[in-house]
Amino acid sequence: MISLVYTEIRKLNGSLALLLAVVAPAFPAMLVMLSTATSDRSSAWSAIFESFMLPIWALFLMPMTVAAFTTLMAQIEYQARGWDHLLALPIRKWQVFAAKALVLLVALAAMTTLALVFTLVGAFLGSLIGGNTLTGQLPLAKLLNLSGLMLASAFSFVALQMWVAFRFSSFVASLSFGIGGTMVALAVAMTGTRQADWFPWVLPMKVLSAANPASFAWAGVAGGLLVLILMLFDLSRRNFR
Amino acid sequence: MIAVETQSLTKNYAGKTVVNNVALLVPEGCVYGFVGPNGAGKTTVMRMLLGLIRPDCGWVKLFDHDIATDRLSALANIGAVIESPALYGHLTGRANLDLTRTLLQLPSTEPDRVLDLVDLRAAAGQKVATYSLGMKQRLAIARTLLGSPRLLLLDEPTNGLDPDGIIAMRKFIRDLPDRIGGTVFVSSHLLAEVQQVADYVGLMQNGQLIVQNRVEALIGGISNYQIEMDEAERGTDLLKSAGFDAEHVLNSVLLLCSQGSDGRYQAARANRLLVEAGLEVSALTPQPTSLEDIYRAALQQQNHIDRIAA
Repeated sequence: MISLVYTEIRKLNGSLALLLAVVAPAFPAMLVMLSTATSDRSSAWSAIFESFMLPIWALFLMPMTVAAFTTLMAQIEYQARGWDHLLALPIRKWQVFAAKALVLLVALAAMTTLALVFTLVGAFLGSLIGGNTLTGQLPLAKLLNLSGLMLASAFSFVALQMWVAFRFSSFVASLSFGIGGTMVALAVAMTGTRQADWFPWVLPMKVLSAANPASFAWAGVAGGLLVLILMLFDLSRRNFR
Repeated sequence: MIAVETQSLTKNYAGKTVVNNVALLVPEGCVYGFVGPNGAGKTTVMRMLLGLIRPDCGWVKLFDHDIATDRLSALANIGAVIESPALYGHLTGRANLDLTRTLLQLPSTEPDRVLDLVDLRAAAGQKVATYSLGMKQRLAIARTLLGSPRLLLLDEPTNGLDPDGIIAMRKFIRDLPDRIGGTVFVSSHLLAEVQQVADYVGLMQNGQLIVQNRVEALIGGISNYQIEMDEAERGTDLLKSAGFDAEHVLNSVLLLCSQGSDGRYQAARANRLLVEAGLEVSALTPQPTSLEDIYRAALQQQNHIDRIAA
């Protein structure tokens, strides 16, 4: 399993997926930099992260990045006809997909960390350019806690997205699925409806806004594990042509 | 020892039977040519051999390990290239080999060893996307050689190669059993190509294995005679009506095809029949037989069986 994870990481080297993993976390940082540079008031660290960066990341950028990243990851195999080679090796098929899932989850955690670091740098640069001061303490412990819970809650839509991306050779299916899920989450956020609290793409946002964020994180983990098991079972038995 | 054995192998797609009751038997240490026209079901059979798709009926054994129940042991000593070379274009040739080496937990010297075998060491540092098709084929074959497998499955390895590449690949395949001490199962739609490299041959047509035997035995069991005569068309009709397998080739030439060991006797009988009918036979020349003749004869026989069954 370790060698499988290692080879999956090496496959990302020089790929568009790796480029995306670096570029996508820079978007919230750029927005924060523009905001602080053009603002005529000083900004608080807690507001920058809790009211701006994390909601944008949870609601829009993270699901879109996951959709694009999983699609690119799956297309590495589909374009190279890699399944023919990989699944004909004396390796358990479920381990092949489990390794990919693990790499994806680690990549998402790394992207979220990068987004936090880039935002920190972006806010600092913006304040220098705009001549504003950044007030208050950086809520590091709270940020780490919220980010962890957000990642946990994202597990269910990440697993669903992964299943679709690996199952269908067309990138259109995977991207449409991800965009559709994100649009529903945006609609839920805009209307403030409580009807879709447990929709997988809504869970990360609930972690940020609900009084009991841990329950949404646990729901994400439980749903993600269930989907992951079903995915491993399905893909291991699938005829890849 | 039998390298590959299948029984009643059948696969349906969308209600159509693409592989029908195939029983392969590939002895160890030979080059086995798996031949048939495009769409005959060769690649589907090879995918089933590797466990990439599940048969609807029948079983596959590689070195006596059932692919359905003992997949890891069955695939432990197999290298395969199915359809086109499955390579990652954004990685170098060496990196492609190194990925598989890591997965198979082989020594780090393995990539260089197999790169030397296919004469690709100089280009190993380039990205695969920059390789020619021939280089990709060689790299894919190099990857199958990692860990010295006992069986190689190569699907149309000469596809897209230039004449020099085809000659080099043919020699490479011919030498492989000696070089790796194992078996090579190679599919192709080019009969002449397979005849030059294979010890055994299996002929596929419409999803069915219509012939399987040693190439020598097959070619020895068929003899063609070219008959030069006046009124060759009439002669052809006459021979056909008498139950001979004859074909009008040119104005004054017909081809007599006979199966079994009595080819010379059949040619003599045909000659007598033609002469007695008042036709002038000026020459009767034995023709070299090829897999193409075997295929044609087997196809006729199969069509005859199908007609009777219908």
